[in-house]
Amino acid sequence: MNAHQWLELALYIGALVLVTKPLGLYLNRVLNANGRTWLDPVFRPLEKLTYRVLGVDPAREQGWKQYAFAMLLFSLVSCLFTYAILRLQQYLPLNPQKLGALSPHLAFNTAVSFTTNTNWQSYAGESTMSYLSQMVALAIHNFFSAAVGIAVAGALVRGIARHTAQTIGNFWVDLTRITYYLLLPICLVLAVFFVSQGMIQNFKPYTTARLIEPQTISVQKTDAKGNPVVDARGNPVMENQTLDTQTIVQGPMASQIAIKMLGTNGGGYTNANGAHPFENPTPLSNFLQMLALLCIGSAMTYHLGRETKNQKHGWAVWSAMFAMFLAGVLVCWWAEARGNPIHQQLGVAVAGGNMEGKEVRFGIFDSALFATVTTDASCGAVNAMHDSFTPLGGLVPLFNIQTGEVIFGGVGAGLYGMLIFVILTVFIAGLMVGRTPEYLGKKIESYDVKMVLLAFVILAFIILGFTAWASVSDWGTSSRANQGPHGLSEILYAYTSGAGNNGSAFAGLNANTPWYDTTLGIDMLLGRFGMIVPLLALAGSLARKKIVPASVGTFPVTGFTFVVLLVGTVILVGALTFLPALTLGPIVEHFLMFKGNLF
Amino acid sequence: MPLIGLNIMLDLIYIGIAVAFFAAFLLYACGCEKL
Repeated sequence: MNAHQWLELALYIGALVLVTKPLGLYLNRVLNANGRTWLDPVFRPLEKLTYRVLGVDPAREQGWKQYAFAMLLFSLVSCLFTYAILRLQQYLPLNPQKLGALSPHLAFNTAVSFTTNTNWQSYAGESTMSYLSQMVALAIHNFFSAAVGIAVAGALVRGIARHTAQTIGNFWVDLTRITYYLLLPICLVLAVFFVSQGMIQNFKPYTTARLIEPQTISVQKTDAKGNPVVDARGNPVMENQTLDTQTIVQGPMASQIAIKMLGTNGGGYTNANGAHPFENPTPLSNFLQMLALLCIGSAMTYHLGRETKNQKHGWAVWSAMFAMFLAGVLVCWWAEARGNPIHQQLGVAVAGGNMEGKEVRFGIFDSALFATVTTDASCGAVNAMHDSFTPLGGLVPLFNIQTGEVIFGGVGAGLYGMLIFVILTVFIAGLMVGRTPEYLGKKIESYDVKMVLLAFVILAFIILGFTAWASVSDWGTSSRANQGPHGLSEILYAYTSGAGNNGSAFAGLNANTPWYDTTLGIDMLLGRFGMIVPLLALAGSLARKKIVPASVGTFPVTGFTFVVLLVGTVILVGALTFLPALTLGPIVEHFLMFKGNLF
Repeated sequence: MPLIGLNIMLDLIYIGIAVAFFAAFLLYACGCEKL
């Protein structure tokens, strides 16, 4: 924990603060169907053409159910479209490596994963996906799933801001405007910048390079049909193989990475994701990728304040997010900088702490910051292996996802997740003082609390339910790379990441099996739409309410008390729900590490 | 079963799972309204 690293942290926070207001103002215009932006001359004609092609009347707003139906229909069609491309990629163009079709279970998992903005990857991108699959099947979802998240958050904010209204906006208008005015232009600038840093963008076949020093490796022997050979006892038969060439990945990477980070998608072009030198070439690209991850989530809080005409409330929500962000970074960084005491006793640890699973170019601080940022947002990008973090260092990303990724969060998803906690907070505050809870002049009634709890409970139910099932099943335990509490953490992380639509992997778990691909696919679907539907119902309910004038008994949703209560609610609800599972995983592993046991 | 036939069957199963879940979400939305 040296001065340079503290300075980088300060720079990161400063940049995030600076970008919040201007981007929030711009976002506010984009989410207003009649809002004017300086990009109107370029995108207005395209926007009008899109409405004409889709047969959408932009002036006609939708009630919450129509909004939800449109969103579900769009997601289903785009999910099936992606499934078809992945299953047929060997017949489609832009496939110089002649990569074959994905298996049905992997195609299902991947299509659902990208539709739900999870971007969980049970495959290695460079050895599985053609350029067409990367650019059409996956990158399109990177834009659209991000736009859907922002649209839903925008609809919820409208519901909060409006009164005695029957509508919460038009899904097709929101989707179109967010994609054209927000995501496309920023991604274009980001992609060009990434190319300037050394990121590749081409359609060349992969390059084969001759190694200066041939390497001999031991691999499992396979028969003529490619099946692994085992001996009489069932043990794998190994053979030595000498490698004298290396295949170097090529392709349209920069365009993919820009939206991967801005849209908090996280699906890596390569299996190494942000640790690959092509995918994250310099410290500056690493810094900007982290900033791109949180900038829209941060700006959404400004939009909340602007739309509800209570900017202090927007900043109060921002402050609560920031407090938890800072705590997460500091704990993760401290745990990784402190390192593993067993490694230190053995004399194999570097002086700087735990470097296992980390890219030397980034080191401990940038790995810890990236891990915290990517799990604060619902992004699956990683620049280090979370599986190799110390138990407490690994607990931070896990807990970030389990609290609903509300710390700035995924684009849109962070704000609508946090608004669940805001309503829960005013509900608890109302109970404390014995008054009907109010939120920005609206009475929070039993229906609203039911929708909030439905949105939250479904996450807890699927994460813990699927983890429990996998932990006692052969199909679940056979995919673990580690035994004991670390093995449980691998399973828990996978289902948490899926349900939270994060997509980062703890690594160590072989998830490309029919069972894991299928159950994780269902986990992602339930985590995304099981939460969004009641939130849209909540938006509709809030929009219909009348405004009640504030009185002396109204709990203020600005100021220090509100921020403390909001942070407390997020942490307490997260802790009460997941602490038993965390105790059996990373927490017990932490204490066992000091007893000399590693897993 | 020939591999191609098995794959087509699996395709139908997985497409069916996706369609069934989205249909369930539509019903879920209707249920949310009635709560």
